[in-house]
Amino acid sequence: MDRQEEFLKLLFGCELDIRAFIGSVVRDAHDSDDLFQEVALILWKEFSRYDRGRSFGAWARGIASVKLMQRWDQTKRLPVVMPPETIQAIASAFDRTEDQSSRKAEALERCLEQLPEKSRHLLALRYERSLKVEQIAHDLQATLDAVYQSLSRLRASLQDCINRRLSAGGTA
Amino acid sequence: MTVPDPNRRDPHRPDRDRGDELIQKYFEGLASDSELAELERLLTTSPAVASAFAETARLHAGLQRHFQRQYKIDQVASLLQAAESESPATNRPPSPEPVRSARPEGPAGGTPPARSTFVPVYTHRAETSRRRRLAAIRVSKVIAALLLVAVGVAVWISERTHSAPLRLISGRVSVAGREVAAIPVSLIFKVVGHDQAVIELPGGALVKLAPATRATIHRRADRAVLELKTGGGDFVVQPDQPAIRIETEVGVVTTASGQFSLDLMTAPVSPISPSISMPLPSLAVVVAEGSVTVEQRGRPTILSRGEQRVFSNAG
Repeated sequence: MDRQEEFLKLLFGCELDIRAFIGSVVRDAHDSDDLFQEVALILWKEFSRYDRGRSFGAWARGIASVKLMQRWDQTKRLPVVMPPETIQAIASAFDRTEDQSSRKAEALERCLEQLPEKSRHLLALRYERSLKVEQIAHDLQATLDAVYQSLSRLRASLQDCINRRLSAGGTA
Repeated sequence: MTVPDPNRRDPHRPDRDRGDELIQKYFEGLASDSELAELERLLTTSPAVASAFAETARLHAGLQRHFQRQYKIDQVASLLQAAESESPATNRPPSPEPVRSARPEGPAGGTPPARSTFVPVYTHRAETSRRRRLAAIRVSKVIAALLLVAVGVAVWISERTHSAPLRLISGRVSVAGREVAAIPVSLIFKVVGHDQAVIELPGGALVKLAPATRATIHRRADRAVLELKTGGGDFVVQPDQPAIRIETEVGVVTTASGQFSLDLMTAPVSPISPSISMPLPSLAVVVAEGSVTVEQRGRPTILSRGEQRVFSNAG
């Protein structure tokens, strides 16, 4: 495998994780996309410095952390919501929990297939149409709290489902 | 709003439970300033809360991926293509921002991060311009090689086989902070400078985007789709040209033939009178020729020549 193929394979393997990390401290989706693009370019430029003995995801998140902290220094709170020390704590948490991240993504797909249509519709409003809780409540003529609680319960049940599949040793 | 009040917190509740509650509110954009501060404290003092935060972030990202069906390979290939097509006039060294040390300091000279995973990211300011140019050339060559692989993979995987170009006729655009000479597909770009960016879509329709506009152009089965993030511009579609579709977070605008302008406002424009309350985001549509359809939540609104209207998610 040559260097380019290696880079693509590594990047594709942890792209979702990098997006999750950036998106966790940059709450505006557009800014988060922009920052991901910037980080992806930096990763390629710095790829010669990557130590193959380390996790590519941890290395990528380290670089993303630098970028996020630079942005924090320039413009406090927006678009980066968290201060540097918290970004560090979050990056460390991602490192600690990155095992099986690709299997978790597969498990999520399987768990979503099992959801009833009503639950899928609620998630689609939130994640496909990117509506805020207030807008969903307006659309569904429900209270804000009801929508918030429903989404929280749905995500908790999905997380449980993912964990069950992983502990059962497979995602099928 | 009856989301649990932090003031009613049981002081004996474990941090993890309280952390879960704050994490949920944070990711829904419902955390107050005091709750955000509390979450920040928990994230730095409780590894269990920080781990739960990371898992929740992954779940959110996974759900967004599932429902938005991003084409990641195309996106990365396009990103590299954009870097490759950076215009010579703006071919700067790869570090457009202030140089930081490999181990960045916190704000105002705060304690440097203790984590040991940092690697040098940017070239140092002290490097000579010659070394920078050489480095930039070397990077460009390697990116070009990578591009061949990436594009090959993208072509192999993508069902999109249209090869008609997106032509940047005039104006300037940037991707990820770097000015580019061509409009990338499926990547967010921004119109920079003080002039409109005039783009010709496959088939000949013209898009004239205003300065500071952010957008992405996708190629889908039968037409180009412009995803407008913020800003706006003028759109011209002749009867013999393919229809275009503009997607915004407020609604979807389509036309088979027409001339119209859009302005997607996502943040207040200063100064605004405090007495004026404008729901955001809002999408202003003005039709000069032909007709356009604005679809919101499955409900179409047809606007004809001379008509204008402001749409928002508040209805």
